[in-house]
Amino acid sequence: MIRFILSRLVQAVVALLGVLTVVFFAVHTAGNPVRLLVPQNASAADIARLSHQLGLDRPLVDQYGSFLLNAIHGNFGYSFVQNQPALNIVLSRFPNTVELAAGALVFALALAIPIGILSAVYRGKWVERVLMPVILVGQSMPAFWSGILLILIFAVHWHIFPSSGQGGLRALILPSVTLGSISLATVARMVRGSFLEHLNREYVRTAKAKGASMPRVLIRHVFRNAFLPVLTILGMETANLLGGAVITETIFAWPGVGLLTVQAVQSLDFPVVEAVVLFAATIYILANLAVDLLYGVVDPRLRIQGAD
Amino acid sequence: MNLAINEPWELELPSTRTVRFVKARTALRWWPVAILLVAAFAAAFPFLLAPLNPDITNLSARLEGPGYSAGGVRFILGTDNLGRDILSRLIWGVRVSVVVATASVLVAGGFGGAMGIIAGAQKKILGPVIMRVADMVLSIPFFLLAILVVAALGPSVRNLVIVLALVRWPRYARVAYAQTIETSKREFVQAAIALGARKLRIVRRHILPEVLPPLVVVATLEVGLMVVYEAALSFIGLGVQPPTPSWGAMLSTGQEFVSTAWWISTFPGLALFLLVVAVNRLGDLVRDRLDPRGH
Repeated sequence: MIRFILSRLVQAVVALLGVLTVVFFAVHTAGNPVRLLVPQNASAADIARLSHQLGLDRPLVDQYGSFLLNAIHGNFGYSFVQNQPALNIVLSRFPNTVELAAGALVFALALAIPIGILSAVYRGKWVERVLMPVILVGQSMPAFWSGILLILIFAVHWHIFPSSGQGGLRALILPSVTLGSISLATVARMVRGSFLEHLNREYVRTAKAKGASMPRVLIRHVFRNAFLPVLTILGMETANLLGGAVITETIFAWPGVGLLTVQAVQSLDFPVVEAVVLFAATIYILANLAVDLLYGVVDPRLRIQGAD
Repeated sequence: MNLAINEPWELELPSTRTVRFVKARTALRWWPVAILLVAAFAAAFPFLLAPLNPDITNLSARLEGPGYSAGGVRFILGTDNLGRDILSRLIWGVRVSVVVATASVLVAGGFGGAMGIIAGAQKKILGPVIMRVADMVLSIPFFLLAILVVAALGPSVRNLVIVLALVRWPRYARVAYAQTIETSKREFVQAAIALGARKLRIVRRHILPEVLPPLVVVATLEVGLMVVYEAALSFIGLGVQPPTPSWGAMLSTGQEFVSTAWWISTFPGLALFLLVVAVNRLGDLVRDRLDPRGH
């Protein structure tokens, strides 16, 4: 078990290093950020001086090295726009993102698991014929349309919920539904697919042949096996949600990490862009690591394989 | 298919009416194809369908609702904040969606599929390296990665395709890798190895036919996602640049005027939704076709 955990930890660290590298080179191919910092009529000497001050005239490998060292210490430099450390800005936005992600996940799971199981068990019956199109609609409604529609109906027309901003449960509902409906479709489809696959297995037929009732077969036999892939998806969904729901936060002016990303990219605030992407990636990798470890607990076979 | 008879003694010919009904119902299941054909036609020949020039602004006809007409010109779906015809922009906007989605799926699928097969066939060094890189790319929330890369490369149709392929190839690689590994364990591959077939021949003759169907399924499901992500990037201003009509950008304008002009965001949203539903539904049909176990 310890070897399994260690090998997963090493993988996570390698992934993080990779992300750091990608971020560094993506940002540095984007051109010299100094041009955006100085006034339009700045002379070449001014630009050179500022580049030197920021260390941007050093060899790329050199810069990469110090970038890695600083990043490990959580130091991404100061935001070009708001004069404070980039990571502090990201961290101050994070609780808002967590709030939204939690709302979305609660909404999604409460509906997805029963819908998925029902549509697998009643495959081809009217239950599936009603539920699956609903799921399909949910999956095909992009957040930036469903969000606008929800605002149109519930905020502009009926004035039930506020159209944007944060504050209290009422403000949380529309963004949660918008964000959660995508996860809802993914998780429900996954639950259905996984259950369907297992319902055809021999062990299910055996259990049925031995006279086990359908609920018993589902709970005692299918659920444990079929839920494994769902768990993976769930981890990835959580990670996605925590990484910042860029579109949903933009539509509802929700002051989370996602909105910050858009604002930072639009104002070419590179330290914040770096910090936000790395922060989101770290969350994402940690969440996936947690899922992997959980997987090992649920399915002992993987512990042995994973240690190879 | 629906008339399959299991045992010879159950043989009983269905009536002509039943056959016709079943045939009609089977044909109707393929409605997504009709929508996609319309979309493809609009993408290829928007000038034949669009009633007006999508870029001409008309400041005296700003934010007019559907059915508005002025000076003998009729704006069937209304106008936007610059007085441009929504319907015409909608029709021209299909082009960006279809081109970007198709191209990025082809690039990502081709590259990712090849990488996955190579990784599955070269298990010693190359395989683990490829799959670790794929894991790494997958471990970055891919919309953030896309934003980052578009911001770095600058927004354009070509860069959109590059970015979407760059962030999505690991999905195909994983599927191809898993399928390659699984197929390699099967008896017919073991037999081919035992008979002394070369690796390339095994991949081409035995692995590829097993890997392609799941890849096609992933690809058809990815097309819908790519349509959405193109629109999403355009929505936050990182997609196709104005004045080129794009549904994402239209939705973004629509959001600004959501309380006064509902039609600006509603129609592009509806179009996007129909296209994505059609693509996803087609993906399901393709999967059911290619995966007979489901029946």
